Amino acid sequence: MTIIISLVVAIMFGSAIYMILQKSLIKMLFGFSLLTHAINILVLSVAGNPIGKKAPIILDGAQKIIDPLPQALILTAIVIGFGVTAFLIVFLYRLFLHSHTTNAEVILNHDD
Amino acid sequence: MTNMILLPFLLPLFTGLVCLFWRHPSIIRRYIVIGSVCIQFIVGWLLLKLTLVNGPMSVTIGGWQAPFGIEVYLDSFSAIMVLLASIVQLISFIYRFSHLRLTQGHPIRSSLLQFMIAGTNLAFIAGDFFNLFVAYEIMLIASYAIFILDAKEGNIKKIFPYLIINLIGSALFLCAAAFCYSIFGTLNFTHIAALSNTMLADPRLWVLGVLILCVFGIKSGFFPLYYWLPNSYPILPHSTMAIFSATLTEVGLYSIIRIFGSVLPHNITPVYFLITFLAIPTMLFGVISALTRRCIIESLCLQIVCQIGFIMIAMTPFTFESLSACIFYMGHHILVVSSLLLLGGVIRRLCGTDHLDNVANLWKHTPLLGIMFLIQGFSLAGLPFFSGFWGKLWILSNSFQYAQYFAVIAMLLTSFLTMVNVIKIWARAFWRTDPGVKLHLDTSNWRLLSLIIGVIVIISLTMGLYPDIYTNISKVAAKQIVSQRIGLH
Repeated sequence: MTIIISLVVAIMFGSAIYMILQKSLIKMLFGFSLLTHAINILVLSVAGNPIGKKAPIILDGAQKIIDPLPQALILTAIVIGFGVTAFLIVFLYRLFLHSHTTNAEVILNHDD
Repeated sequence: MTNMILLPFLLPLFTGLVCLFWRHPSIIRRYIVIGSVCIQFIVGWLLLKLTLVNGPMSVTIGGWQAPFGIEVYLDSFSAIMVLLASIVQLISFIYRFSHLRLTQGHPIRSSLLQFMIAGTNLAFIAGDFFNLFVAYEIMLIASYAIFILDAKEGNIKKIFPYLIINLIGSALFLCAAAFCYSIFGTLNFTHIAALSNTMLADPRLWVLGVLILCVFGIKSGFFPLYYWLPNSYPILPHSTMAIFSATLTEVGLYSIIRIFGSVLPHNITPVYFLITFLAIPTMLFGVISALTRRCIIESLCLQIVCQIGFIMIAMTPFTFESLSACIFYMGHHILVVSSLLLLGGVIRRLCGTDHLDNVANLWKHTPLLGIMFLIQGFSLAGLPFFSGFWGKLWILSNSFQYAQYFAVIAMLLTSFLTMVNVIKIWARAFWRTDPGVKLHLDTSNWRLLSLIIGVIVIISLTMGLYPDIYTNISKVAAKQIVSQRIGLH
């Protein structure tokens, strides 16, 4: 289970970084959202192997439960990631309005 | 009484919220901001006095004990940073309000700046790793908005590198938090410090150390990652730029000192070596690029990068001696750099530009400004009897003690080149006479602005003339940092 999750995280990280390094702003945007998800899964995997464990609702005595803290962290991270992605979309849209292209190379080398 | 340590976070947060109620330009909003910053200054002062006498204070939110609850932790170092940030804030807001009419300037800039200060102050008092991440996000989101607020259409693309590199930095920060939790099983700094003493030889700590260094290196502008700083800072209005230089770059350095000084074990020498190794190019590249720039503000922004290199050398290898020198130097750095940026702003107002080709005749009309620029410039370069001299002397003697001879050579060379740069700016802007350059002496109210900046210059001068008080404070702060690592408090 841990191996699979680490492979998934690695593939997601790799493709996210590949997309961030592209020249198109749209691909960059999708790269960032993929990166956020990759990190959320990474944080989730910190809780360890979930097989054979129950949700952290303790009814009677000691049971094997999943560590709830990483889930609480992810909840915060998702909200922050959502806010930042919304900001990034508006920012890239303003860049597009100014130079009428989504090619980062053209935008950054364009002199006013 | 100990609940007071939450005030540095809560005060700016509520000030920012209250200011949002006035949609239209209003004098009341200005009074509220200035009043709140004054209270922040008093709170910072009281907290510093309390922590110097009684040692560190901590509060767990809602009374939940540390593994479940969130701990807020404040020692003298945090209090020093809160106090310095509030001094620079106070001066910058008074500077801003005294030259902008009510209708000028964006109405929500003050609110956003207060939100950013809330974020940086929360980072100064954060007692666990995830809270630190949240503090950074509050600070960064507010700073993105401040950058874009008044930016001209053509300048927006200059913010792009800042945005992208900080998004990657935040992503890595969350990774570091996850790794930290998987290694230690807790995110609380005090618990990690206690646990890490038992796992000194664990190589996973090195990986964590490099990751943390990478994250905070992006925030504070280390050698390969400083590209965003000199390109994005000049877009800001100069009063905002002074606040940014005093909080946004310092908070990264603060967190490095906090994490390596008091949380992680003291034997991660490969990471310490990496910090020293990166510090040398940070200094040299910073100062050489500063020499090549023809605009005063850009040149000063690159001087910030170069000074960050000094602070990096000062902090390694995170012992009592090195940390006390580092804290003293950071105090000097915040005051000197923010006042220099504000002085650059006055020059820009006087001449309409800060390009060195179009700035001249200043000494004849504004000698006070010239003297202040020279004092702060010499202090930056480290001439004797200014605050920079004592800081650099302390760092140099520490480096000799730890046999970092390359660092010593680089520091001396950098100080010399900084001196050349200060003289270059001063000779072009103040000494040179050029009948073609017209000064806006009547409309720029430079006298009032120089007097306001004079307050920082005087504080900085007292640091140079009576360094004993400040060195004692920084020694106490360094002792508290080191003793948190050993778990004495």
